[in-house]
Amino acid sequence: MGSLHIAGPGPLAIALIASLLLSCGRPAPPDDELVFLIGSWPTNLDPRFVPDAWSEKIAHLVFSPLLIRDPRGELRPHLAESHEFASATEVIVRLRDDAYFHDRTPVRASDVVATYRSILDPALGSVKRLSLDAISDVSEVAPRTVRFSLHRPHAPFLQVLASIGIAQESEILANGTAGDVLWTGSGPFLFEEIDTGAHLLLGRNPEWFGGRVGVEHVRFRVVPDATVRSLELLRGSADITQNDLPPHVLDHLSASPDLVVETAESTLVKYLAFNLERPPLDDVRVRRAIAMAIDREAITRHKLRGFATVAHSFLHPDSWAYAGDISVLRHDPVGARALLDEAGLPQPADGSARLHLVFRTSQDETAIAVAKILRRDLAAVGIEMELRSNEWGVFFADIKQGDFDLYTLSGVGINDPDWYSFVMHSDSQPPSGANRELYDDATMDALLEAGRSTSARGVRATLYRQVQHLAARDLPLVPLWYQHNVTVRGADVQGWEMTPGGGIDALAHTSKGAGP
Amino acid sequence: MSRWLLARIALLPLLLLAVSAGTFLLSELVPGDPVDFMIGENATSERKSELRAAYHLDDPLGERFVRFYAELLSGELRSLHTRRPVIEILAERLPNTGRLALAALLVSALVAIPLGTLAARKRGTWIDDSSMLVALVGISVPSFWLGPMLIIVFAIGLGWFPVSGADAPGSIVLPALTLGLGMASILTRITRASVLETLGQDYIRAARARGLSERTVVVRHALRTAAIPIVTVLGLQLGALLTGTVITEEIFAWPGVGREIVQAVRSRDLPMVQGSVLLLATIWAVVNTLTDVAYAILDPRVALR
Repeated sequence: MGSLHIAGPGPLAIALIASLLLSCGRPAPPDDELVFLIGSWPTNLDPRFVPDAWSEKIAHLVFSPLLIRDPRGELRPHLAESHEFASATEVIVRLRDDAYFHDRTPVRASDVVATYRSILDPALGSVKRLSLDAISDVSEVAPRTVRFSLHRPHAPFLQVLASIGIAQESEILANGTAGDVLWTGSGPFLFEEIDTGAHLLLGRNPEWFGGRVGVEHVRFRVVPDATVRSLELLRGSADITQNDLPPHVLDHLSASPDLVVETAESTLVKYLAFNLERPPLDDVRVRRAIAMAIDREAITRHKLRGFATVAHSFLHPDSWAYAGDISVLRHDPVGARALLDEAGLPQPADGSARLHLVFRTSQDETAIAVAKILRRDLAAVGIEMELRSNEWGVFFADIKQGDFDLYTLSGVGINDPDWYSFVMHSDSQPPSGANRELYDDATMDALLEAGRSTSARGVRATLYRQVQHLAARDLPLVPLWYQHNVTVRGADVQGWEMTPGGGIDALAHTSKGAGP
Repeated sequence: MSRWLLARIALLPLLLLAVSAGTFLLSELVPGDPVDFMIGENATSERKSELRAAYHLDDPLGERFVRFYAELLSGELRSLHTRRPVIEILAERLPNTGRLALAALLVSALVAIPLGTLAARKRGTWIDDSSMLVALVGISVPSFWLGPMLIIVFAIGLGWFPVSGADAPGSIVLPALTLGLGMASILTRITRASVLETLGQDYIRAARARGLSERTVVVRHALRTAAIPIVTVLGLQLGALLTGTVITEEIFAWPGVGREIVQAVRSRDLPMVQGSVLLLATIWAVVNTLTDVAYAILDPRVALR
């Protein structure tokens, strides 16, 4: 029986394989291209739709909105030159005269009117329509002046003007209500190439009214896995990512001399919710005891590696409406046990739990890790916490139906104090809002309605300080911590600036190497 | 054979009808309101009702089922989120999945067939034991671990391949290895067993008695007969690769069908889920039929009736 001979590769084959391998690795992006890693594909970049966070952020780079947020989170004119409340129900916006679409046609009031009216048209089926509920009419006053008429006084309305990018009237008319993507905007970048699900290439708009754009191209690459995103950054084949990496990975990346990990305060608040319909959680002493049992300082310092700050309000301390004198809940297990005793929940003599609660969360790994710490903290005061972690859709459907004792979620984009209406006004109970804890307080409702009805900032600040005090007294929700905005970027990336809302508008002025 | 093939093809629509009906009903049972994913909670119940009406989500089940088929057949089944036709989205993704599946299959075959054959030829020796150990390790290593390990070694350490994506030269290598090496483990064992069985046949002894070289005996005579179970497994693997590369696509940011389905399920994009599952069922059915046809071509003893 002969042997089976398998010929080995010759020197030529080895040389061929070696040269093939050397030509394979993805080269570092060129200096005039910034590669931005994102975890999920932006589903619809038409500025009238933008149903998810990445769609909205990227669409803003192409379709300039009337107002924009500065790095402090304050609204300022962008495509608009000025804006004013002509009356409690009328806002006049004047457009700047140096703004052009990518095809060199000037941006006019008719484009603004067409964009807003298109979204308001039920036939378009845009999810953005709900944010325009306050508008009764949009009309052109002059070629560069637009009037927004409101159904009723609505102070947070200016937020809307910062959230909708302006498209071209002719393109909107040509596309009708088909929901096809519009392409022409007036922002710092224009669409160059879209490979669905893989990458999106934006090119510099040389005529942008905001000045010279930092780089020739920005490429958004979708990399769903957080570990792989971090490896792309380490390898140098990507330049930047924001709020898309878990804390333990950030620690590792901080050690790389080629990368910079930057943090900034954000308007994203992690909170704990109680089901007020389920005794004994209807007793504020029990809710307070649970809040006092949680060692938030330790969680933010150790588990979240310092990428979060303990919160005592849903508003950030930098907010004009923040109540600086709000009562602060500190970690106090002894006090928590005393409160539970007082509430008629003594520790049983046999050492068993004095209370059993069901905690719901999603399958996010950080959320589960934090939940396990909460379970330990509550166990220390005699509360047994059952952790149920479900796929997001199931988790969300269940908590909307009230199938929970406790859960944690994040409040995102809390730019205006009217956000409290969304989670604490009695009209916001599901299915019409996020008051899932079913809090119902007439004083709170009155304060929130008053705050929404006036545009005088001083008056609003006073009202919302009362709101925060009331919320801290009744504790339907416990603000846990502000999750920091975190950017990881190459050391050669310059000009990047973070905003509290986690926006990426700063890409317009970001460059690489020696700069533009 | 042609009658058999026609019968199989005639059964396909019935199979797909059953699959689509099952998918439709199951996706209706899954908790989670698609409207919540579309507009979030910051919406009035009136707006939500409006949107549900616009997308016919509140219509009776029977009506929606009929509409689903009407839209499917007219190519007008659209994603709830992007409003693009499902068929258009899948047409963009399917070539990527197909490319990756074929590359992985190639890796699997290139590793498994020589290794399995060698193990059979060297039965009971350290070569056989080592081959089976390699196969055991390969089958035990999950792709969510192997993928990042390959990236760390070959993309970060050696810099030979891109970390992820599908657009750079060589970007297919690491995902194909991740998928292919796992599958090669099963195929190696199948190949070994099949070649071993064939090598014991009389006609192999006769071939050797005629003085044919061992290479000719094994490659030309034994492997041809042993190829039937190998092709069966390869066919099944191709079906699995075309429909189940979700984890690898996620790790390597490979823009294929698997990732699209995962995203659709997460966001309760029901038309997208229903359309995708139907496509995958079609692929499975076609691949299985082609595998059966391949039997007959490889071995005339297998009659297709």
